[in-house]
Amino acid sequence: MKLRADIANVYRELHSWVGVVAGLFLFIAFYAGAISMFEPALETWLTPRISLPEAVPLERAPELMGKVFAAFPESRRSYTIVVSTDPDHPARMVWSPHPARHGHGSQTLMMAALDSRGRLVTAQRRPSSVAQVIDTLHQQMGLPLPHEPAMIVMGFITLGYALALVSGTLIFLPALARAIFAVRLKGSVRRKWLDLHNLLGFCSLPFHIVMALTSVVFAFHDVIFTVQAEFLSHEQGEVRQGGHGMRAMAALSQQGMHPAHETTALTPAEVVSILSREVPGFTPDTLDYSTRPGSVPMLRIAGHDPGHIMRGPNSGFTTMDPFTGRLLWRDYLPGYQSRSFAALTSFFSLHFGSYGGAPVRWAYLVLGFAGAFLFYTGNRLWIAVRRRKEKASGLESDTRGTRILWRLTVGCCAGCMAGIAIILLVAMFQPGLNVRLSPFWLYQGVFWLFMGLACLGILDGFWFFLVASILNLAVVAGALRHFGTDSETSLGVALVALVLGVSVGYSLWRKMRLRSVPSSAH
Amino acid sequence: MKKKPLDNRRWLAKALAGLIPGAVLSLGVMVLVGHLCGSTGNPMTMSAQWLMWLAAFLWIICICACFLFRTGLGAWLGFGWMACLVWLINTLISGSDVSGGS
Repeated sequence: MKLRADIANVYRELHSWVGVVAGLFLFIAFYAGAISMFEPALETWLTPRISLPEAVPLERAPELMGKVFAAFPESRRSYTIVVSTDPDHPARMVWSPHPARHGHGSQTLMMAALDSRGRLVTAQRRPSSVAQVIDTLHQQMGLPLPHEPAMIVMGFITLGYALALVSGTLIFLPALARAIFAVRLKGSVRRKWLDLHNLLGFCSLPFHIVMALTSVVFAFHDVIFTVQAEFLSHEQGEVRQGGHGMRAMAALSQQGMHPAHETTALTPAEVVSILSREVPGFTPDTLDYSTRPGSVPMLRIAGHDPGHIMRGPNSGFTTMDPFTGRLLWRDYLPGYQSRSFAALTSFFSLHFGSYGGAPVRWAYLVLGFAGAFLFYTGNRLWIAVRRRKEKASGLESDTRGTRILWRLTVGCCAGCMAGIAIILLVAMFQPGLNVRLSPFWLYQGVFWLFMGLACLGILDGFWFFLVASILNLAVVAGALRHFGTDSETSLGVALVALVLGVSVGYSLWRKMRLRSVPSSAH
Repeated sequence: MKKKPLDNRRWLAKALAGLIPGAVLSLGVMVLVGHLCGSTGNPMTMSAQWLMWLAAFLWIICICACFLFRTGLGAWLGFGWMACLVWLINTLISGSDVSGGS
């Protein structure tokens, strides 16, 4: 395949410039995204365990629900029955004291249980928000803005990401057969970074195509759906009002439901037995009951099926008529979707890595860090190319452009690594501090401190990465100290932080050695 | 006469053409396909969701292709007239829907 020389040149320029600008944000998105693959495990691990009497069997859930409704009438509006309880989620019934935020991120939950004499015991669970903050950093690419504007800015950056991806592929394709797997680690610095960047980019191309397309959709789906509602809806009804998501789902799933007063609701045990009969293979995790003012109660069931792709990051969904047990809506039910819906779900699932269980999550963790490294190599390559050109034209030191990009790259990458390490360390050693000081702003403080210091140019880039490496090694120590609660997660966190800390440290050590023995390689 | 080689001198105008008329064009094509396949625009339906992905995909293509125009004005006109055409057809279709339905 041969691309016309001037077109190739246009896309090469575009790839460098768009890639360099978007790369800084994408590093944060991929680095935080890789960690957020284990968000639920991380949240549970960092949240102190609540001691409650042993959960009542599912068959006794109605008794528990009755007592909770009597003591906390507001819980009727929205509550959850947990199907499989464990030491980290010990309550059979939970509800949010702030129902407006229900279903979005980590929130304070009320948990209820019955003691041996059948008396109601409640406790409040305040989950550590660190895992949620890392996910927010991923979604917002670290932008210190409120969610809505951040998502719009993020959307434009992802369009740049898509452009960089397409242009990068176009310019690399002609040289594909010759250059793939040719990693010349010795020789010129520019060639090393180019080969690493090409190899990483090519091997993870399908992953990046999925990420670019899905993130554009995550940013702009509301706008696109509003246009659809405006120009395609034939009704003047609810959907046309621009509200989408839950409202539309409620409207769709309540079609043909029984009015609430005609019959009594099914018990959770009956719901679970209907599910195991109707949709074997789907394991329900939670039964979410909610009643909107002036409408019939709704039952949304979240569950998983490791053998199938799932719509959400951790689960698939269905809705049921809580009176008749009829499944109202199977479009997001793993393994029971129509082919077209399954194809749609696969886009989300490929973004979230919500298929195939733990091995796929670990693979996504590796791909995420590799993605972050890809953007780092891209920026290093840009700098190496510019330095070569500048040296060839007789300049002794970097020009302003090269210097600024180098400082931004150092501040952004090291600041992101250090910021995340620090909020994890604070959560492990000083959980109280995270309550008083939002981890999001703590991260932002560290990040912008790194950015500021790097941009001032007082210190060499080496020291920033050294601090990032040491902080990650401190996370290893913290994770091992935290071992008592959940050894599996502790080991996982320690392992990931060790690999990060050691690999950054090793590259610094190599660099130091190269500096002390001046070679002709540069 | 040999054409001048393509360059990135008018990159901002071209990029804005991909972003603005490119978006109008992508959304227009989405609405047109929606009309043709009888979608209701309810976000929980399959057709609406496929159309949403289609719009995003087309917009990305516009943003990648806008740099192939020789001038910024050419990019604006290129995407602009296509967008006008698509939305004209959409208006005609929805007009005939309303008159046919009433």
